[in-house]
Amino acid sequence: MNHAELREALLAEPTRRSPEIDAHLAGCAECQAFAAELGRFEARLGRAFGIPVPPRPLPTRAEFEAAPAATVTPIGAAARVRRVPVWFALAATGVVAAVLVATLLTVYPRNALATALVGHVINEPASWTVTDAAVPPESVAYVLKRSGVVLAKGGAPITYAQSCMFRGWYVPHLVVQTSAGPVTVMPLRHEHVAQPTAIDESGYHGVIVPAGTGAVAVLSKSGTDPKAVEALAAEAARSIRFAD
Amino acid sequence: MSDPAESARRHARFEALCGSLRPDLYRFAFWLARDRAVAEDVVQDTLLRAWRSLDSLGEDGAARPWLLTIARREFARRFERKRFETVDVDEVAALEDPALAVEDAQEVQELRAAIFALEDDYREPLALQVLMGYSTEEIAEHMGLKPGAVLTRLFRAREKLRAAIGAGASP
Repeated sequence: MNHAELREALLAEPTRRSPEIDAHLAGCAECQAFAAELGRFEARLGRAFGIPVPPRPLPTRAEFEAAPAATVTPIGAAARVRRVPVWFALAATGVVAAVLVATLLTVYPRNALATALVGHVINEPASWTVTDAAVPPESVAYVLKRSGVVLAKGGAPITYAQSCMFRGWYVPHLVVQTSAGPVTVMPLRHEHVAQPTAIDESGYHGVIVPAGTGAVAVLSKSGTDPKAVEALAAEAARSIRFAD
Repeated sequence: MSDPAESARRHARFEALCGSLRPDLYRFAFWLARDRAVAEDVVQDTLLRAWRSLDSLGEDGAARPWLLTIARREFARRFERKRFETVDVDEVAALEDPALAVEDAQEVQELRAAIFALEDDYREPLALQVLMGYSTEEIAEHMGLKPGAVLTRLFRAREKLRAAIGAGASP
């Protein structure tokens, strides 16, 4: 090991010692001086990195729980599903829209946004829990406010609400329960679709529809009644507003 | 609805694991962002994310690398949306610790300014090594690099800092 190699090794790992380093240092006064000076530099570097930390306690349990919930408590068998009359009524009255969207589902190919949405929901398995436990209103409000989303009152109970980073923006990830299982609703204020866009991949299907100045995506697992999903998308698009 | 007793146990575990690590987390976030407000936000978001995924933490002893990894991702997400291309050098002065002796403060101040000016690729591994005591292998794992690449960055980082403050002449 020569001088340059020793100094390079010390500059990368000042505290590491090896037989080669020790042997060189033992016979080289110049490098001993370098190592001593580097020791002083390291002490100074440690103080430079050690900036003062503003005192702030950890969030309280209440604060954590007011933030998006970690999981939704399952209630057991998937067959036990809460009936949500609001959405059924909407599904029944939205037949025309449903037929239109169903047609579009077969016409429009998969796109990057649809793929990203499916990738996102696959990574949040807790969102697919069948439950009748609604998320506290304050948690839903937190998630919506964080993304500048306003939701009209009176919709179905939301059983999952997370503020998720999606394509560079915090997006509400909401779930409501239908007779055929959980359905994801994601208001996307920074995404734009000119017309309803189908999602049908990896065992998930749904639709992205224009909503105000953005869009809203509705996703379900294959097997869910497509008409209910499409009606839900139409209703969600009417119920969601993006704050200025 | 979550069980209150279970929730309390969960919070107690979280507090025990993460409370003492908050200063490390803040410093790491600060040196990534070079901005106190962003660092505070990153810490807050990291803690919320960590709370949500506490069950994914295996051994309690792994809490620090686990938190730092979450912080790094949180920062990357913010960075995707807003590039911090300019750095306010006054931020360095605002960090001055009055407890430091005057002459030492001057030297530390000078070095902080040099760290501020260091490229991200050099600053992060150096922060992990100096602040967190990470080994080269741990830094490599954290940053998704090969150990050799980490050693090169650490060497270059110190070389640049020392050049900036005029420390130690080359042989």
